[in-house]
Amino acid sequence: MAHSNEQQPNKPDTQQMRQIRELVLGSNGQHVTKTIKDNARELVSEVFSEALHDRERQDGSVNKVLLPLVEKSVEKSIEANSERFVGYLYPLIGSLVRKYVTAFITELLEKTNTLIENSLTLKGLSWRFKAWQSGVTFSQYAASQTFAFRVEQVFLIHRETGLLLNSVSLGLELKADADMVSSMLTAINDFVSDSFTSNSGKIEQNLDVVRTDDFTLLLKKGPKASVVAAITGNMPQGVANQLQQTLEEIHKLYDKELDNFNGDSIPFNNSEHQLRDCLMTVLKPESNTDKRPWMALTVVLLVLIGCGFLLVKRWQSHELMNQVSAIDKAPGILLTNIDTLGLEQIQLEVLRDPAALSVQEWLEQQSIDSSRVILKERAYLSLDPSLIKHKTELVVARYSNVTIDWVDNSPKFKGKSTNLNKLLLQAELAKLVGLNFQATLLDDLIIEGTENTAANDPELIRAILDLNIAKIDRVSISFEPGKSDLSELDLEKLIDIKEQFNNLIEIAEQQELSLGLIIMGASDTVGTASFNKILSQKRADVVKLKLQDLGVAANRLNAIGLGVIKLKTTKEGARKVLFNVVYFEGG
Amino acid sequence: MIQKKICMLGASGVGKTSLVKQYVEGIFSEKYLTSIGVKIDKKQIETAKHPVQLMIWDIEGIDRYCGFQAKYLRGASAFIIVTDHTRSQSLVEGLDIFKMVKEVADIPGVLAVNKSDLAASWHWSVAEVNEIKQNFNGFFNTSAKTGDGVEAMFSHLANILTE
Repeated sequence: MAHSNEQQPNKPDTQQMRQIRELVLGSNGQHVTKTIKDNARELVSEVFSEALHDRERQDGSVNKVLLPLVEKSVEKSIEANSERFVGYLYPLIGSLVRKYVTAFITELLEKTNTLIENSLTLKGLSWRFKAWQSGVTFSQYAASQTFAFRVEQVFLIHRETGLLLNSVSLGLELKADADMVSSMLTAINDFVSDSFTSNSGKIEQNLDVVRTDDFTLLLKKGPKASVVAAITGNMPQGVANQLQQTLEEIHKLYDKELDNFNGDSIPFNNSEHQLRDCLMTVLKPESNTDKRPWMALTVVLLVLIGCGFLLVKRWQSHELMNQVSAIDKAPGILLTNIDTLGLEQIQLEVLRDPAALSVQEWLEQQSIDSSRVILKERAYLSLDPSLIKHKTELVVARYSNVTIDWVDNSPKFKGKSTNLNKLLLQAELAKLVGLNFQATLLDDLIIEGTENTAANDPELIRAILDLNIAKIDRVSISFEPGKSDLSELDLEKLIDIKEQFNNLIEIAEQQELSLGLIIMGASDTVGTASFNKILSQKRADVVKLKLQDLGVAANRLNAIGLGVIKLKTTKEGARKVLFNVVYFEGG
Repeated sequence: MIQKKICMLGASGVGKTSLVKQYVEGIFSEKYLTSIGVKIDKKQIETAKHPVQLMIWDIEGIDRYCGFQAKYLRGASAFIIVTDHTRSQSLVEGLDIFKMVKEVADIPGVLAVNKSDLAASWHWSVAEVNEIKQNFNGFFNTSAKTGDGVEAMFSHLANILTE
């Protein structure tokens, strides 16, 4: 009972306490809660930062809770105020972009520089040619020449499936797709391993090195993955060691991933760092050969010597040409063309009077090597006064007693001569073109005896006679239409005819020939035939009378009027008086 | 991207290579087939889940006189047995290969009855074929000539592999 008594008052006690508590705190402590709620802001703000800090330190849960909230609010904020954020970020991004672009351009310039260096030098060109010859790209060839060896590409291949896990390269892309290459390599390895099983045991055979002309494929096999490196150049053992090291590292790091590989290569993305270690490059030592371009210098020197030689030859030819050009001043030689011919010779084209000095002689006089002159010569008659003098002197030299005095290019003949020689001389001199010879020039010659034996030869005399007769026959006298007057010029012609004719009479008589001069008048077709007949007769008579006046015996002259001369060629020229000397035996 | 290795298997002359050729633009010459007994091509396919890249190992025709290169199957995710419904023997050999594959790897297999552009002239009845195809994870009538069924078969396989 006592025990129950002891417990009795406890029950109402507890109840009372609850009641008291309810009275003080309100049901469910609502008074306190209300009071705290009323002051919540102040209470929390007092300890808020400290509480966050303590809790974060305790279990890091604050960050976890806040992070998504912050992310969400930032996202919302950016969505709502994107313009403002652009404003904030602009200066930051701008400088980043500038930095990136600068780096890019610098790299590009360096690459271009190297490219130009490799492309435009002799070495670059020869590399280009050799690359073309061996059917590889220039960059591949350049790499093979520049590097002692270079690991171009590294593959990480899953051992079981042969699938590519990752690959890195130095920028030289393989022709084939890396995925396919790794599968194919696996297949080839399987093929080799199946085809060549060693006798000794069941050890699986594996490809280790595959070598081609330009490439070496180095394969390192691990239990779960293989590393394959494509190498150009002479591969040192160091590469194999590096590959082995990398393979081991990858096995250590990616053990689980390799076991659980289901075709997804993403977990292996980070293996790039390990694989990059295998991309080793060693430059070829620069050759220490003298870099002076001896070949080029020799070529330049040879070209210079060649040019110098040509210049000297050219100058010599030019000098020779100047020397030879002076031939134009030689009497009777007319230079028409002169030009260089090849390196040493010159071609000379001249017109030359046969009486002039020969070109060969002229060259000798000037002491010019005639073998250097190719000559083309054509004949012509020169009116050069000195040459005419020369020709005249040559003629006169044949007559021993005759000499010439030159007075202003006109000759004075002196000395003694037979009548015959005088005629011969006269004939020869008259033939000289340019001498303007007149019979009166021989008037000073003293005529002496005819005891020259040669002069007594009747045939010779007859020939001389014919020659001189022909000369008179060639003379004609022209008239104005319808006129029969003689001009001053005609008169001179008639005096000349008188001289020659009278000279001939003497010679003809020695040969017992009777000499006569027929004077034939003619007229053109204008007017009636009878008038023309009379006119032509009148013209012949006028000439006959004049010759009589000049001292030709009338009985040797016979004037005939021919009337009209009807010839196609004689239109204007038909108004003439013509001469014809005739002779008969037994004068 | 997820990659999967699949193998094309079957008797000689059933048209495995032609099927692959119909499906992908290969880069390796077919001379590899005769030299090392395999030619590899790849093809990306969109599946219900995500794109997958099939590495298709076209393995040289296998017949009773020619050994089976089990090594080429290593790591394969699936295989396709190709038969020719103009040659009864091709299914017999296909089934032999199927058994051999199942011995070394427990991977899904698809049966392709090729040359569907030609009339069927083998001695297998529809019922027999239906029974056989129960063992496979897919069955397709294909034609390398017209392309019928080829795309569907590879897509089906890709979907199985990404499930």
